[in-house]
Amino acid sequence: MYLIDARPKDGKIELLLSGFKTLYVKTTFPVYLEVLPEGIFSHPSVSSIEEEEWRDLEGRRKKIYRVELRDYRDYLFFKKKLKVVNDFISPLDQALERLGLRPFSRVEVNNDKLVGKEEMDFPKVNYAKVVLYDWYGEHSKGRYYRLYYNGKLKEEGDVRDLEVVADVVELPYTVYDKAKAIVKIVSERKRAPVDVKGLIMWSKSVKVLLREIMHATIGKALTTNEAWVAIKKKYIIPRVKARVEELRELEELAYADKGGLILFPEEKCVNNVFQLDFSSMYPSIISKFNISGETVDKCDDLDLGIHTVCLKERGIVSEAVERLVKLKEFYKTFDEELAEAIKWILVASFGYLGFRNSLFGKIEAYELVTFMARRILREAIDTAESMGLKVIHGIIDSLIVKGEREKVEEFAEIVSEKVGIKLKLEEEFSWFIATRTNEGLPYPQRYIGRRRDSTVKVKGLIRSNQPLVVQEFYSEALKMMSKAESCEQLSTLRGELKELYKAFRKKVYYGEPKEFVLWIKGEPYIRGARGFYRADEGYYGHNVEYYLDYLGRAYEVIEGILP
Amino acid sequence: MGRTQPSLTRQVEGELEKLIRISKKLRDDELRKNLEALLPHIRQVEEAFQDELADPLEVLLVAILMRCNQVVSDRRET
Repeated sequence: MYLIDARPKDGKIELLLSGFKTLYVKTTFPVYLEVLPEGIFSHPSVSSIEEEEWRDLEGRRKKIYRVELRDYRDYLFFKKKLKVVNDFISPLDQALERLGLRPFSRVEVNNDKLVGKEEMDFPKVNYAKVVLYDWYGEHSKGRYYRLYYNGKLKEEGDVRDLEVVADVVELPYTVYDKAKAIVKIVSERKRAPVDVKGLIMWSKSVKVLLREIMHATIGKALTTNEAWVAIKKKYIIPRVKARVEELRELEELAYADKGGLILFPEEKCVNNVFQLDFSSMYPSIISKFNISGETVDKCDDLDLGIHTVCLKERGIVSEAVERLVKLKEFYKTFDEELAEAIKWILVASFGYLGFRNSLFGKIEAYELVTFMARRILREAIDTAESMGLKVIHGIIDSLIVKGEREKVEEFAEIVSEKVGIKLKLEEEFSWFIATRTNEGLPYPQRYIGRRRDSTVKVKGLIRSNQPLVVQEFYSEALKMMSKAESCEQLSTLRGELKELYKAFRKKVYYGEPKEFVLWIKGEPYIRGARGFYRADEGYYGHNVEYYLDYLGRAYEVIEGILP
Repeated sequence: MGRTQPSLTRQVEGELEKLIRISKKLRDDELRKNLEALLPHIRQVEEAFQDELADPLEVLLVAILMRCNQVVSDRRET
């Protein structure tokens, strides 16, 4: 049995377990108060009160009071009336953690006692995802459904025939009542960039009930992860943390406030190159240099150029991120989807450092991460050049270099050793194209590389808001390009490309209606004679000129890309 | 996300767009070609400037000087 959800009851918690089983566990709920109100001892819900010594985020020691409540509803009342702290993680989650019953952990009954067993693997629970679709694509108003059960397509059919039973289900509002599940995630309300499996992983790895994060932003998940560390270190977590930036010169700000390093490739097409990536670069920097809101510019233990870092104690953010980096590396060995879910939290953990409402971040900490990232990439570029490798391109944590494979491997090892962050050889391309803008200027974030197995890696070319006919044209053009084994062969493809373009022009006249659908903010549109109209209201023709023009621009892009 | 000002890349992009607009309006072909030939150099120079405290016009100025130097050297060789 796995813990899927929990509900607070009077003096106990109702545990909702996989397979629709229910168990109860007696407990109280910890609520932390800064000031004890008069007469609280006689409150019927108060079980006990303990005075404890904690620290605020500035490191000052403070006394707060842990009040154990029998009834969860009183916490909601206290929250409105009193100065409650440490409740970013709900008292329900804190009570569960205290009992060793974490979300999606295995629950066993041993001698009438409930025991939670922590397992690294994905929990053995049944999860499902319902996707509705119609002739124009996937949409919550679709008349047909696809049911994915435990990650695999189980069935398709008319939405009126849909029935689904699982522990956790993600589904659109329109079919909400067609599922029996312990937790139902509404697709339209979901703000996380991962789907049901990823959300289960978030819930498990940051130790918060799925119900509490399923419709929240990624910020909730990552801050919860950090808040657990803060609680362990006995830092008081305030409701709101005012982040006032230190006073400094404008020049100093201009020097420090920069993003990652991006190179502008000189050459358009290069044969035989390698792509190397620093694994989890930003999180690794945060962890390695102990970067956190309460450690940056607090003492001079480590001078990193633009700011200093205090090493007297492990930072909240750095410790929280370190655990997730290890978790991500672990999952990467057997499940890319789980690793990807953790990666999202890691990426956002960096971004949140500089967010003004971040509880544990600080703008200076954010600046320090990007500063170190630029320094590390520069160091890698210098090392590559000193070893006789040619650096073709570089984007924040990734490098494209030309040279012999053995030397590239040696380079990766030397740099990993030097900077303390693993530089991995990710790809080998038989040709690599760094694209240009219409004016012939480098466009660093858009590139194409052909792997040895004839597949292509593309960045920044095909977008989901382009009409399907244009996306298909790009895909076909790339397929055609993937046959070329060198830049020289690529340059002979212009004639073939023109033929492909002509075929797609015909498609614009006679294609299926779905080819002309454009997705804008998740809604399907078609460009008709009198402007855009909604595709889910039916197909009423399309403006051929508009799509021909769109296709023409796509053709020009590919034509311009060819060497 | 902690960004309080446009990045150097964004600022240089603004200057580049201005130069592209100007080049399109230049009626002298040779002048236009000269200006267009300068544009790719600006990005290369900007790349080297990324670690410095720099003004986009400074980047432009260095790129122009380098381009002038290149043209003079080429003419000297021929």
